[in-house]
Amino acid sequence: MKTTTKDYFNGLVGQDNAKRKIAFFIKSYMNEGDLPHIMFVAPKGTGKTAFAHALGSNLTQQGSSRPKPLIEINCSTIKNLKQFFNELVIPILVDRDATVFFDECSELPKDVTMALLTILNPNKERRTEFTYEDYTFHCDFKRLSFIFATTEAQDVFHALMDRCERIDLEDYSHDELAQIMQLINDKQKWEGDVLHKIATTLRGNARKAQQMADKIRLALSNKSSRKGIFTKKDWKGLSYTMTIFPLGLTTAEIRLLRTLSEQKYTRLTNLSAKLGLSKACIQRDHELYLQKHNLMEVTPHGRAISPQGIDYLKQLGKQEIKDEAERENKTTK
Amino acid sequence: MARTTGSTSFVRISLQELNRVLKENASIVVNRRYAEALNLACHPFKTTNKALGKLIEEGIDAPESKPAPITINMVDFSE
Repeated sequence: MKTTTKDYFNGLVGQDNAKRKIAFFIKSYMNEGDLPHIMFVAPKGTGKTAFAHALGSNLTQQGSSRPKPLIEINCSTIKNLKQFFNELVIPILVDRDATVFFDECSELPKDVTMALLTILNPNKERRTEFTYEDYTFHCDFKRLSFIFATTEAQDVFHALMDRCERIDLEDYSHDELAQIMQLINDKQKWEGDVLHKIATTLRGNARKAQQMADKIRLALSNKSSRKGIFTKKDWKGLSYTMTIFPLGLTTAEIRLLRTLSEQKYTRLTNLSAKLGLSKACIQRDHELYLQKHNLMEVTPHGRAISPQGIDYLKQLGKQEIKDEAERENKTTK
Repeated sequence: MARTTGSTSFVRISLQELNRVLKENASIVVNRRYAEALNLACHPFKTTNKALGKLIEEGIDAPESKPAPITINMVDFSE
């Protein structure tokens, strides 16, 4: 029998708080035979799907050691209750042992959410009934387990959220991201602290670590010598080719910082006009990460670059000049 | 104009066939004596081409645009 949290999450790095909670629920499932409805809430790329799969792989069928199959549903493709019943409930869930994973559950239509409130209603018997048209669906929580995942917790209907055990996943630390990359490219060696430098550009996102590991593998396959070692020089070359900036800032975020540095305060409308991006896009996609790293501030007078932001641009400018000179030297030689 | 020999004003039709083409709340035109015999709640109707056209248009069950199927991925851990 599995006893430690590590046993349940073979290969998954970090998220220790979430792992402890999940391990507790897996143990209680093994003893009691049912799982509370789980709601994973996390920013993109932090492993909601991976953890849902890990949890699902530990839930066994009644009277057997075989894990229940995981039925993964993209909620944005569910249009209405009729479709939900005709394509999912009746043909797949009735009289079956399974774990049902509703991904992006903030996209569930209202009528399906309301039906789920009845289906998932906690009670002593751990079973519910829901009648749709002339069909009655009997839901036994010992046979069907439910997992939800969302990045937009505020858009999930409050009563559905109340019926679930919420598990929040956090951004990954640089060390964890380095560990993930090392696990993916396990046979590869890294020069000095290059792996840690790379990790600082991954924005706390495990999916980006996976993508970066793939890019590095491709870069190494194009190399003529020392194929097994990824050096600082290789990283410099890859950063230039792929336009990777310190802290993993995007080109649009650098443009935003540079626009802010032109005057003391800039209004959002003005920023939107200068960058050619909608206000919502600036607020949702670019400002948050810059604010997270204290590179900009939102004040009552408008948006402003912070002292750290000014410093970031100075360092970036110096580095660009240095790299340009190095490239020119190389061409002349 | 005289009626063609053998033609009739009324036709018989199954409820199933009506349901196939009409919405659940569609109004249909039936013989008054037929409606009275069945004790149906009904309203008078003047059969002009315009009124009939409107009634048909409102009653026809437009084929529902079928939504794209739900994306379902089945993972079998025992394999």
